Amino acid sequence: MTKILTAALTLTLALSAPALAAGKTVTVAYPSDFQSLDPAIGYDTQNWPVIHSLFVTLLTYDAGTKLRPWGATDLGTVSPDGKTYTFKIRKGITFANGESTDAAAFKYAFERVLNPKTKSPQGGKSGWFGGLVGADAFVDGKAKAVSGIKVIDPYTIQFVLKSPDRTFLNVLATPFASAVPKKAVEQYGADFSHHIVSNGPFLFKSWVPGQKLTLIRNPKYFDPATAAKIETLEFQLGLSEQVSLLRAQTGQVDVLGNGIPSAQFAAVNSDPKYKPYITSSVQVGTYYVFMNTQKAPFDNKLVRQAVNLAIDKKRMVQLVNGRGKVTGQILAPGLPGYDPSIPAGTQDVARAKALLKQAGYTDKGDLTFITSSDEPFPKLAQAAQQQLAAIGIKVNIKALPNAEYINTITTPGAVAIGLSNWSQDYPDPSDFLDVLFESGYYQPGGFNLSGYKNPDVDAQLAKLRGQPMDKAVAGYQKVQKQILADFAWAPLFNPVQYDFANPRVGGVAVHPVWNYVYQDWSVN
Amino acid sequence: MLSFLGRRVLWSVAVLLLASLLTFFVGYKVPADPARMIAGPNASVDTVAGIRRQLGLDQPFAVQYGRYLGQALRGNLGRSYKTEQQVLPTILERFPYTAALALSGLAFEVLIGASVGLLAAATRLRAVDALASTFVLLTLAVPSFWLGIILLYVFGYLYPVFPLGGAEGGPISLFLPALTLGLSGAGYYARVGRASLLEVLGEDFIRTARAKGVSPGRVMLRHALKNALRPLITMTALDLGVLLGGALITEQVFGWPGIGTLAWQAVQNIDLPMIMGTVLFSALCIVVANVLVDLVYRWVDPRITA
Repeated sequence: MTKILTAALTLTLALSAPALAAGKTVTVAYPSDFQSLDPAIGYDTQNWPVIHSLFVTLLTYDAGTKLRPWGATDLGTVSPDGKTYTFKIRKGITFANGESTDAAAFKYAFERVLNPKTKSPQGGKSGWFGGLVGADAFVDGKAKAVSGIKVIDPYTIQFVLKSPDRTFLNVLATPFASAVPKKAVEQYGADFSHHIVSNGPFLFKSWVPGQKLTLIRNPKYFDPATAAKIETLEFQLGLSEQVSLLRAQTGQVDVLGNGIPSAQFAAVNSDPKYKPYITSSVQVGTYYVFMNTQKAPFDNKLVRQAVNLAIDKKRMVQLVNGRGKVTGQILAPGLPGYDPSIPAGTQDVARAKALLKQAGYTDKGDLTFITSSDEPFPKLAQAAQQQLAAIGIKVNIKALPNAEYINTITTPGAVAIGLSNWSQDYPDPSDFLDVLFESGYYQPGGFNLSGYKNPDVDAQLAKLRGQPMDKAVAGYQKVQKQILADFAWAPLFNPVQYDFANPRVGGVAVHPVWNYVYQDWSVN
Repeated sequence: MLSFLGRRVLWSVAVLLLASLLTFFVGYKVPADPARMIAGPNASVDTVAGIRRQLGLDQPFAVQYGRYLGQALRGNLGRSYKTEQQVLPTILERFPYTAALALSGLAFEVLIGASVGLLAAATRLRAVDALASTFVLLTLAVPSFWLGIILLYVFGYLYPVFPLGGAEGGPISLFLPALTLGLSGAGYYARVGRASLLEVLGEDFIRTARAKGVSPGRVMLRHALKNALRPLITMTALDLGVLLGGALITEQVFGWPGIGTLAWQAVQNIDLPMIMGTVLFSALCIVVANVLVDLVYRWVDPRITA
């Protein structure tokens, strides 16, 4: 009964609240609520930028994809064998409850992510911290601490890896590697996400689930250069994309978190009034048609090559209202290893038909093309269906709800051909090439959707992972060309994000990793 | 009366149990993995399997359902897979919003619908009847999501008289969603109201009253309307039960933070504990409304025993 009365009171207060405060408040609209602001849990493009504005990691990125120290004093030292990383932590970073951001806070956070009870998307042995020495024993409950995370002194932390892995530095810049305040986490338990105690540029003020999240500038933040420039950051949640757009057009919302809704894109984008509101940027992601190289008829390279030639990529981009950049490669622009010299490729129906003939392909009409039912997948799948029919490959489309779709495409052998997309977790080519083409990822839940198995590629990828990026780039470009020559994919386009932001808000440039860096935003 | 009430309560418990079993079964059989939904597309297989174990999703159906039922009986509907919020307190927090929308929407439904229907029957003018029929057809044919968007566009954007969705704009925020809900259901009330009044007007006691020289106005107000309202009252009570469980589409269109929006998001995320909670809550509202209607019937007419 108390709950009902409290809720009734909340409703009364909400209904009597004044309209939006102006000034140094910036409002962002998202149709969905936040999943979690707990850095060990939140894991999507909506959660990450907010967590990045709340919690400090040892390393982070500059305006691009170059790592720079944040909670650490420098980029750390690496042992000659590439397995041991040591970091000095900056003093004076405190959480809102007074807890210190020290080596113990980082160790606690890392072990919390690894602990299966936390249910972290990067928990367990094969999560991002699974490569630490002692992680397996800790996850299995055979050790109380991870031996590979050492608190050398209160402000020095050392990580020992089982094998050299360059991407560990990128992992240290992800929100999963944020220090968390132990006392607050243990006090609130599973409710920590709704009682965030942070140390970053913003502090948590309130969260009315499904309606509004409010963050305020952290007055005690340690670094003036990266401090928040606005007083209040407010998220309006639960409004449909159409209603959010109407609000943005009337100045009640500053930024549309999900961009301009697809249905209104053409009208809004062509309206000169909104030109100052719209910015576009190519995202670090790739849409592609995958073919299972272990299933007929796509076990024949000539058939896969024919599919590549059948696809009209420009048409695909038209279908997403021009919000894409055609591509002929796996790696997306912005990633080290992206090769601008690789052409996007053009449709060649005659050559595709000739290749099918050469392959001895006979259409049985029994192929199923798997796609997600989420936009824009179905319309892209329909275009692919028509284009494949033009060269004599008849496919039936099966559009599945997203969760079922992921389960289906990641079940080895279940799908012969389908549509998918991939976007980065961190700016490293291994986050594309390893995950999408290493033979070990052709297992239930793995994303080697093409069943691509090439021992030479596997060996090269493993070797490149242990090398510094400047030395590895050429190797990644070579491996990418090798994979492309096998036509396991027909790469389609890199999505282009169109943001809608009121010109009164400055600094809303899309970051290649964070999408938005809220601490950089200002009010003009 | 007590045994009547006892039978009705027992029946209600059986309905709720069946609703919980069916929903749990459908959630169990849906070919999508809630652990994958939590972990996201990029998480490793082992991590997803670990989350599945932690949630007990690797257990057989009977074990999972039994555990859920045991906890539910102790008032614990679990935590959302997606947001980790406790299900029951979350539903209770959303309930006042849904109740406010249900009551105001119902008020529109009854006021607009019943007035149109009763007016058409009472006046017996062809023009009025034709207008009423058009109104019924339109309100039944126009989908509420479309009506909601049009109302928002016209009265929130073009002529900004009302807030553009959400609940933070003050009590006035309730007007458009309530009107949408009301107009969407008003056609049914108009139809039932018209039919009921026409039926009553043809009854013997009306003819007798007229023969006794009672004025037409008095016949209509004292005799006909009073009797014609009965089915409308039953309909209202049952509708209230349904609406208290959440007006899914209207809440979604207006971003109204009620139980309907909660249920919609839960279904999208395959958030089984939240789906179970919202379905059970809706079932409870409907069941309680039914029991209340039965009790009122029984009170009005003691001959009703079953």
